[in-house]
Amino acid sequence: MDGERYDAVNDASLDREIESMLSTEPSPEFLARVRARVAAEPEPGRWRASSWFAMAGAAAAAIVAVIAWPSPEVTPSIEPLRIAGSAPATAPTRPAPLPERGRPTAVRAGTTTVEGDRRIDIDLPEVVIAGNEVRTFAALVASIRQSRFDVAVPAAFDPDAPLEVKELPPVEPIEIEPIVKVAALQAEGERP
Amino acid sequence: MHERADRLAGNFVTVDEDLAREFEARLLESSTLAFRVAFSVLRQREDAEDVAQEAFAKAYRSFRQLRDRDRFRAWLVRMTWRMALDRQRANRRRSVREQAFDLDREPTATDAVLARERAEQLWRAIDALPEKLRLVIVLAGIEGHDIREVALLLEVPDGTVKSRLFLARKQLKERLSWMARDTTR
Repeated sequence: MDGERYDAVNDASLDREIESMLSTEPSPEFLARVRARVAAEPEPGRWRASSWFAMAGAAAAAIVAVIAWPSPEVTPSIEPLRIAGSAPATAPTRPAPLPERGRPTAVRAGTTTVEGDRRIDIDLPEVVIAGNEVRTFAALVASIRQSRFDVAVPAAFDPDAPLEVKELPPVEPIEIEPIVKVAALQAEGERP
Repeated sequence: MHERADRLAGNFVTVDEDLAREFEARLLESSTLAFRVAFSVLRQREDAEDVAQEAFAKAYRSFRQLRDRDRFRAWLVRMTWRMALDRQRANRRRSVREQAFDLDREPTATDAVLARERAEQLWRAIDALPEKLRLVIVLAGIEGHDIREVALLLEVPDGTVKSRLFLARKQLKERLSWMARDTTR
């Protein structure tokens, strides 16, 4: 019976039913309670304004700090290499006098930090480099400067090229003899 | 100098007074709306009043951005609805116990029992609707809002409200008819 009643229900009667269910009124004290609750809140205008001033002040201070803070700029003491083709018009520089072959050379790895107008030299620990390595590196630098050395990047690896696999040499089996002495000592109760 | 300061202070007072007056006007015209939106979710007068009260307190905090009447009411409806749902979730255990108690209560008069059962069925059907459809049917049922007013409150086009209302009514009727068949079996 109820099913028939709801089957027959139309939109208007459904709306009326919902409206009657929602026609509950708040208690008479409701408005007074809301007013009391709102009175406990800070004034919206002042609260907003003060928070905006505080935020604007903080943002301005942050911007000033970022601008005024000196940015550390580290310049390496080693002169950058010049690649052939971009060499300057001046005469090619000679390589530095080479140290004696094989004798280790102490290189002072110092850096210069520029902070505003001040220059600060930082002493770093000495790096010991073998003499022949220094000679080889200096020769390489000199030959690059004089365009006697091809620094072109090698051709890219061709993935389609057939892979060459060399035959591996045969590995003979290894025989390990048992450690008799240790076993005997352990049997006697002594530590090896 | 002093005159200028006094004038500035006077302007502040005027602005504050204007704000207070406007808020009082919004409170008077929207308090029942907020209460009923909360009541449609919670179905308990005290809880609904608490939620509506908190929604007004939040609205007061942001009242400078909500001075426009339509914007204020739309914001208030959304805020109250969300807060009521949160309260409902928090109270779920307790409300389940209370509903169980209500159903076990002895009937006092046949008509009253029938009316209560029917209202319970309708509430259950409304609760089972998707949230968007549920809010539309509730707002349309509060104070006889028409489609235009519901659209303003939800800040959606009229056509959206129409289609949601159509779907909500259809689903409600289907659910009510299933429920009625279940109870008659």
